[in-house]
Order: sequence, then structure tokens, then C-alpha cells
Amino acid sequence: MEISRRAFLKLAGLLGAGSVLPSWARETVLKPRETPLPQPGKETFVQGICGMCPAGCGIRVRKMDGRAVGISGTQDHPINQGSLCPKGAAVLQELYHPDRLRGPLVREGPRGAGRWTAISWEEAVRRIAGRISKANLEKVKRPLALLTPGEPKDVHQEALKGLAGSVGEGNFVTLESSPRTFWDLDRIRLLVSFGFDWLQTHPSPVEAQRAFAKLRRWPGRQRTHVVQIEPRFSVTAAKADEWMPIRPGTEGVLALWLARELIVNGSYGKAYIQGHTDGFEEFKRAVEMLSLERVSRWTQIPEKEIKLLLLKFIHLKPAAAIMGSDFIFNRMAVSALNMILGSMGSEETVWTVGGLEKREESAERFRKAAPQVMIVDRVNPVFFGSGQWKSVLENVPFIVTVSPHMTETAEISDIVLPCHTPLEQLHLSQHSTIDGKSVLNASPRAVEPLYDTKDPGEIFLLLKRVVEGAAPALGEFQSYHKIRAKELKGESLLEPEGEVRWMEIPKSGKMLERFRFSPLVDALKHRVPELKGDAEFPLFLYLFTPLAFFRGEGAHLPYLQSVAGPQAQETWGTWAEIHPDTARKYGIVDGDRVWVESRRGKIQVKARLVPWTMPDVVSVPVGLGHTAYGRWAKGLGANPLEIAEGDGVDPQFRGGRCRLMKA
Amino acid sequence: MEESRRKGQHRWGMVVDLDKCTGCGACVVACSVENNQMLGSPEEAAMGRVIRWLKILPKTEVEGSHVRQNLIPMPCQQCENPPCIKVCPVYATFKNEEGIVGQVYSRCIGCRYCLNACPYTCKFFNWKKPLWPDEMRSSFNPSVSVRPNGVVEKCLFCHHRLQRAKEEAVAQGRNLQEGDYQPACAEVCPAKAIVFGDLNDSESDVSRLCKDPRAFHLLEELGTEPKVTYLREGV
Repeated sequence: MEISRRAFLKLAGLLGAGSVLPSWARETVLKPRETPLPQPGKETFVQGICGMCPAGCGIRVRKMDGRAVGISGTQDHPINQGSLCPKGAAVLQELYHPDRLRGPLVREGPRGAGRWTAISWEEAVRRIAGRISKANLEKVKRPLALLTPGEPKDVHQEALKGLAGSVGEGNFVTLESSPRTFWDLDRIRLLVSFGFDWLQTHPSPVEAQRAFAKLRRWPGRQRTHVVQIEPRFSVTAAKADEWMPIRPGTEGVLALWLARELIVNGSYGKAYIQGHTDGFEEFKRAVEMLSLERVSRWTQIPEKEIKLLLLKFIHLKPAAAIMGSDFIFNRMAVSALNMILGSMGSEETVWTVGGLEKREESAERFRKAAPQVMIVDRVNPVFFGSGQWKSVLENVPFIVTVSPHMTETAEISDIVLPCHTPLEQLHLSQHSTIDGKSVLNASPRAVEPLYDTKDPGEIFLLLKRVVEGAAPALGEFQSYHKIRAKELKGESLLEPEGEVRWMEIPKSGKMLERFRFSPLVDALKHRVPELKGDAEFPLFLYLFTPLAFFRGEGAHLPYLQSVAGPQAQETWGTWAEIHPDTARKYGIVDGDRVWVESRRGKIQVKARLVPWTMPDVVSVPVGLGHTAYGRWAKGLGANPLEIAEGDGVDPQFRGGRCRLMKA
Repeated sequence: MEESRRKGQHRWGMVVDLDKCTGCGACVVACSVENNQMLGSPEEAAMGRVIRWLKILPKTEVEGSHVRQNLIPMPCQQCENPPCIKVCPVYATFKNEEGIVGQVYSRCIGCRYCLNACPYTCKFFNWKKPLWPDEMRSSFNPSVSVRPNGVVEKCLFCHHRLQRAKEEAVAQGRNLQEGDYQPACAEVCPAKAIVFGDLNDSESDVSRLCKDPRAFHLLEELGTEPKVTYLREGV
């Protein structure tokens, strides 16, 4: 054996150190400093469903002796096609989060005191069922209410609906549900977004990114021109061919002017309008009052640019206008524009709205008659609902929260029931792809549950049984899950070693009914957008949601914190994007701590001076400012929903008016 | 001709199409999970000490009211002529025969010369022992070592995946093929904007894309000859 000089010296050094050092020092000096990895064990791969958001992507989990150690997308899954979004990639941190709840808890002392005692599942279920039965017997107006995310339509929600059905009616409330849009990506030539930061807030994040790539360059397809109309220079605006800054909330007026001009030009499908809409003539008259000069003044977009946009609509066809869940007026206006373009609502058109579901104005409904028992299923209305829900929940005598984490809503609850994280859950859910295919996902658990937690569906089945006076049956949910999968012809997807966890099913999305222009005409008569100045609060507060905090969730995972603000290179804190001209008026320089104040209150954030936002608009990200939610989220940043005038239920939030002060 | 350019050898490279990339950050998270990267904290973020081997670099141009911004995913550029390896006194960082710039943690003495030498700021120093809650240790990728404090770390093009792909190819009695080996960032990308492969194979997607008229390298003028190629935004 040849010994090199390096090896010789190393060996000699080690031997020397080893023999000279006293035994106590030997331990410190000679022990390797690297954190030892867990012993590698038996490696397996299982296919599962992501479950970090309602999109329904397929995932492949790499396991070592049962521990999940790696994650990737399922290659042939129709929704994600082998990819993941940042949230999906962070699913392991969700599973192994050190502050996860490990068993049912009952509150001691007043609400929010933070004192909890562990109880058994039997005891927790008995207590909750007792409260529900008691309220039911008392014949109060609203014995029970259940609050749940609107999506996905899955086996857990079904079990929750079963529980809802057993006690009264009208008690099942979905917190968020926005109409899904299906895009015909192969044909579209012009895509204009009216304030929809769709690359960051589309309900199916992976598909949105892929759709963008497809619009940009794809073999055998023409490049689509992408326009983003938004007050803030969002990620979508940065990626678009053109960004048109617009005064917040005036997107609808612009859409209507465009519709008017397209009608005047005769560039609309007359047959289409006749076949699919009602009240067109009225609409035509109603929009006549919109002059270019007025619209330009309202929107603060130069006339020349508006005209240019019109030309694009005339010449680049098929075109589509998209919007997020915005003011109802704007939503209707953009829908009307799509009707004029003939690009919405039927099989042949560029995009359609399917499975349109009206979101219930839930907080309002409960303010008048508070339920006796409220079960909150995997949503966090206290953080997300901008004050409204907080006041509603204060009047509810008994609150139960189902969540893997101690959220703000869990903190004010009476009993907290920890549910499995997505990797530990049984999955059976229906989804639609961005181009309108329906997909059934079904999978067994990807990993065995780490703690004394349950499937959300199991909790609701147990509660239902006990409320109905039957004995709780263990393992009932597993068989329920199997039976439902079988009924949907998806039992083969549940094979423990199975490679396929999805199947395509017949389309379930309903096509839009005939479009009626009349509500819009009425709105135009009575409620022409206000343009009043506000001397006290002269600035607009514009809220946006980074993809990392999509649906207001994600601040509890450190890897997601790192990707929250790529544009301004801001992470681990809340910032406000302010135009330098606006900042100068208030004597603010880049990096200052500032107060953003509205009529509802104020928050302190870091000022970032960016030339790429509109003057007089203060843009603040949603997602931080938690008072609970684990060690990484708690106490970090500020929650702009606390001061916003809209509510956080919409995927895209409205802000309202604000002013700035140096802190 | 350098060793790695010899016939028969692989030379690994990456192409990032900025026209398709949406800056979503999935690659950053996937890279962090794959390579057991530190968790980070507000304090470390404020000092610029959160280690992410792959980061999203914003490049903004403002002209009057017109703004252009590129969000550029930036891993180690895997230079063909890496400035970092020339300054390492202990041969802890080196370029291997397949062109990957490696880092041997147990050799690194933490002098940080390479950090200074890297014009892309793609090398990172462990100022502290990384803090890992016990629960999270369960999800460590067993193929990648967890770095101690006092050493420099960097993107290795998921070199452990290459080792594995080679072993699997040998076990199946065949040569390594295109697609056998993908780093985590390329695998996860929802826009399919990151393409990875063998630059020595003239038929591979990366070789083809490198010849695209939109192709450019970051800080090309320094002569570092990066093996990460970007494709400009636009038609």
C-alpha cells in the first residue's frame, strides 16, 4: 500500500493527538462534528396524493423504514404531470412539524388563556356529542354549524356533510369557493387578466405555472400575448408581455368600456350573443355613458394605452379576459366582456366556468343567530376572516377545531381535535384539471400516523354516530372510505403497493347557464364606481398573497418562508411596497419601519421602496402576522387582514383605504 | 482539451428557460428538502445567512414607467473554469471529471476564500451548527450529509442522484441514459423551465438548447464558462 504524504501526516496527527490528549478532551476533539444521519434502512416508494391544497396533485413518497424522506410528483398524473409547487415540495415539513398537535385537548380557563389538558378521543367525542345533542333538544334556532374549506370535494367533506345532515339544516358552510375556470390553452391568442395574480393565486398552482409555459412556447402552438392589469407589479405582471397599472378596484369599468367599443366596432359574435345571453340591447345602451376620457380618469391608465389594449382585443383572437374573485361588479363586468368576445360559457369557447358555486355570506348569516356548537374543519377563520369571524365566534358558546396545528381559531376553541396531515390521511376526492377534465384521486395513507390523530372524516363519522345515539365504532371510516371508493369505481386505486392513484372520470362541471346582462345594467344605473377622495386616508391598501402563503397557509413551514417574496428579496417578515414618490411625501426611506393605518387599526411593517408599484398604493402580503400556528409562524410579521376593509375569504383580497406613518 | 470534454465522458449541464420560468420557487423548496438545508430564521435572514443552494434572483430594469423584471433561478453555475477551486488551500472544493464542482466538507477548513472568489455568491458558510428539531431529523435525506458548522457548502447538481443512477445503470448492465439523472430542481419544475442533461451528448436537450439564439450565461465576461445556461425571455 502506498502512503501519501497527506495521509501520513493526517494519521500521525491523529495518533499524536489521541495519545497526548487527556481522555475528557479526546471526546470533544476527535468526535466528528457532523450531525449523524438516521441509519439508512429499507427504502420504499409509495404513490399518494399531496393534499397541501385542494388542487389534487399526485406525489411519490420516498420512505426509509417507514419514515418519509423524499417527495416528488407522480409522472403521469393529469394534474401535476410529475411536478410540484413549493407547497407540495414542503409537505415533509408539514408532516414532521415539531409543534403539531399530538392528541385531543380541552381548554382550561378562559378562552385564549392557552392552558390545555390532554383528553382521550372517547372523552372528547362524548363531550362534543353531548353538547350537540343538548343544543338539538333545546330546539334553539341554530344548534350546530360546520365550517369547512370549499374544496376539494372529498370523502372527509362528505362525512362532515353527513354530520351536518343529522342535526338540523342549513348548517354547513364552506369558507372559500371560487369558480374554477377551464382554459383552452391550445387556441388562446390573447390572455388579459383583470387584477388576477393568477401565477400566484390560481386554485391549482402547478397547472397555472405549466399553463404559463404553454402559453409562452410549446411545440406547434403560437405564442399567446399576456397582459396583466393590476395596481401592483406582481409576479404575474413581471411575467406578462405587458403590465398596465390600474387604480385599485376599477378593473370592471375598463372591461365595460372595452366591451362597449367591441360592440361599436361590430367585433363580436352576434349569433353567440343571441344564443347564450339575455338583455344585450339594454346592456348596449347602458354602457354608452362610458367615455374613454372618463374611464382613463377613473382607472388612471393613459387613453393611448387603453386604445392599444382595445386593438389587441380586436386583432388577437380568440381572446379571453380572466379575473379572480373580486368585487362582484368587476366580476360581472369581466364576464360581460367575455360574452362579447364570445369566449366563455360553452364547449367551443376559449374558457368556461364550471361547477359555479355561490359562496355563502357565512359570517353575516351567523352574526344574527350564533350557533350553539361550531365545528371548524381545517380552516382558520380567526386569522383569515378579517375580524368578522372573530366577533361571530365570540358569541358561539362551544367551539371545536379540527386541525393538525394550534391555529388562532384552535386557540379560542373549547376542544381541539388534531387531524392527520395530508401524508397520513386517506384520500378520496374529485378534482378538475385546468383544461376541464375530471379526475378521481384515491389513495391509502402514504405514511402511518405519527401521533394520536385521526382522519378528519373519521372524527365526523364518530361524532355522527354518537349524536345519533349509537356506539362509536373503531375503524368505521376505513371501511367507509373503501366502500365509497368502490362506489366511484376507484377501489383499484387503493392497492397498498399500487402505482396508480388517479383515474379520469366523466366531466362533472356544469356549463354556465344563459348569461344575463340585466344585473350589470342595474348595477351601472345605481352604483357607478365611486371615486371619492379620502382626505384622512389618502392611500389605497392593496393586499396580495404570495404563492408560498396561498390560502393564507404556509407561514408555519420554514422552507416556504424562504420563497415568500422573491421580487423584493423579502423573507421572514411582512413588508409594504411603496412607490418612491409616495414614500417621499411621508419622509420614508427604504427599509424603514412604518405604520400602515386604516379605519380598523394599524400594523407595523418594513417599507420597501419599489418603482414598480403605482403611486398612492401600499401593497402588503397576506400570510404572516400569526399569534399562534407553531414556532416559525407565531409572532412573525403582521397580518394586513386586521386592517383591511374586505375579508380574507376571497382568494384575492381587497384592502381599502390607508395612510402611512413612520414608526 | 480538458478532461471532462473528452469523448465518452459525461459533462453535466443545465438550461433554464426564463421565458417559461415563473419564479414560483418550487425549485428552491425541492432543493432544500433534497439536500437537508438549514431551516433558517428571521435573525439569520436579516444577516443574509440563510443557506439556499438555489435561490431566485430578481433582475429589475426600470425605464420611465416601464418595468421589466426577470426572476432568475440561480444554483451554482458549475463553472468549467471555477474561480472558487483555485483559491482553496486544502483541495476541499474541486471540479470532478464530469464537470461538477464538488465540496468535501470534512476537508474544508472554513477559510471562506472560495466564498469571496465566487462571482455568483453561490457558496455558503455554516456560521452555526444547524438547529434541527428532533422530529424533523426523521425526514433527513439519507443520501446527503448534514453539514457541521465551520464549513462551506454549495449546490452539487444533486450529485448523490448521479451516483445512484450510475449504480442502477450498472445493475441493469447498461450505460447511463438521458433522463436517468435529474437534480431535484429540474424534476420538480412545474413550468418545465429547467432542463438538465449531458452537454457532451450532442443529441441531448441541453446541448440543443445551449445553441438557441436566446442562450446566455451570467457574468459571461469573467470567463468562468458556466455550465448553467439561461435562455432569454421573449420570442
